[in-house]
Amino acid sequence: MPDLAPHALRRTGIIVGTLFIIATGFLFLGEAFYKQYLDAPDALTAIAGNRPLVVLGLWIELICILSMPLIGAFIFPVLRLYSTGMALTYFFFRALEGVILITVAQVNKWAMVSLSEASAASADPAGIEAAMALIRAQNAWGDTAGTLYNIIFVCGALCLYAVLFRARLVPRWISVWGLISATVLGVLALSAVFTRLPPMWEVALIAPLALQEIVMALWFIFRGFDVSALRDAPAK
Amino acid sequence: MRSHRSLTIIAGLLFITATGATMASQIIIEPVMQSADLSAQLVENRNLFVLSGLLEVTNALASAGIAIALFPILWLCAQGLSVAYLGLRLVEASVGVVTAATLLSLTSGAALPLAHALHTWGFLLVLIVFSTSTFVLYPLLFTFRLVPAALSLWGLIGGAMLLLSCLLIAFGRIEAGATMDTILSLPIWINEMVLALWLILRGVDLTHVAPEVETPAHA
Repeated sequence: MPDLAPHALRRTGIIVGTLFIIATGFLFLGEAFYKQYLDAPDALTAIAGNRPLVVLGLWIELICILSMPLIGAFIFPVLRLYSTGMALTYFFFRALEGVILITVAQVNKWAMVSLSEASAASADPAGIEAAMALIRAQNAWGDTAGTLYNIIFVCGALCLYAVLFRARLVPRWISVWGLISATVLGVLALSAVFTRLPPMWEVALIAPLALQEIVMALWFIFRGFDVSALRDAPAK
Repeated sequence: MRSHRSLTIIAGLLFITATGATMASQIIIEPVMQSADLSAQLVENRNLFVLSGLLEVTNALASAGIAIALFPILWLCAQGLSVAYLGLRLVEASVGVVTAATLLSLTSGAALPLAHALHTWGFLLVLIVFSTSTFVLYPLLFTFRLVPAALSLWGLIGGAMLLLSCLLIAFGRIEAGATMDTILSLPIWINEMVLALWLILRGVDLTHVAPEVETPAHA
């Protein structure tokens, strides 16, 4: 079984843990800046009047989005110790998160900034309203609370927790907590397609996973990965 | 080592392709896009939009290709960083292809304000993801002295300048294509051309890479 040098393993834990905190924390931080303006009933005037705050919020969210493929990348050498296929699969799903969130959600939200300016210049109001409606409809599916995004996220999460569990890279209570929360989130995201869930329920069901990610991130940072189980196991 | 030589030549050619395609696409489309009457331009200069869109796709594919070509070499230096560079450039390529699609969709003549806005910001996002990737590539090149240190440092500073330019554009401080934008973007584009020539003519120097006990990714 090929092995990573202990210092490389330690450094990877710190990098991946930090990226997990950025991915979770900056998501909420970014929304805190821009969401109220983009969701406002008169969004076009709200965005035009608060462009610096909207732009700042979107930049913070972009940092969060870019940390997603980086998590899949930096943890790759560790997951590969257990299975190259699983490591690649996790990297693929996390890269796909970055792709869908930038190509759909982010570029749409940035476009709202331009549309608010075009609207202030009173160019084709009906066309701009139609564009806003299209953006909202796309982002209902592809943004961070959207079903399409959540399906990709859950696939990646289940892949990660399965490896963490099987290889005992972290204590099993952390990986089991993740497996259960991710499954619940997946069921929730799928059921949201068919029924309209009250908003507070969504928050209540996403919270366990957000909390799990922070606990796991701190574990990665302060305790690192435990590869002793892998080392003792016969090579596959 | 022979295989690395051919990989660096491919990477160098792709660097030239990527930068050349982006430059050409910008030169073609910028004056047209800034025209007051976009719909008239679409009728008159439809082929310019199509050509520019195809050049953007070329850039996207070449960008991903660079990371794929360099991957086996960078993997020998640092495993995590090599996958990180690949990941960022794959995301950049995906955003680039979708952005090219919005440019091509302009030629339909429908929903002009939306397609125009999506293309403007999509192109900026490509540049932002690209400049982020320079913070992975150049420190790797520098730490392991794969190319001369001056070339790596130049790339790192150039990447930071491009990111600054993107920040200023997003906050509405400068216009895309303005003099300030050009000044801030030029160092990384020129650096990429020099780096490309270096990769083609000289390749990479792997003597500073500690031989890992690890088996290489391509073995």
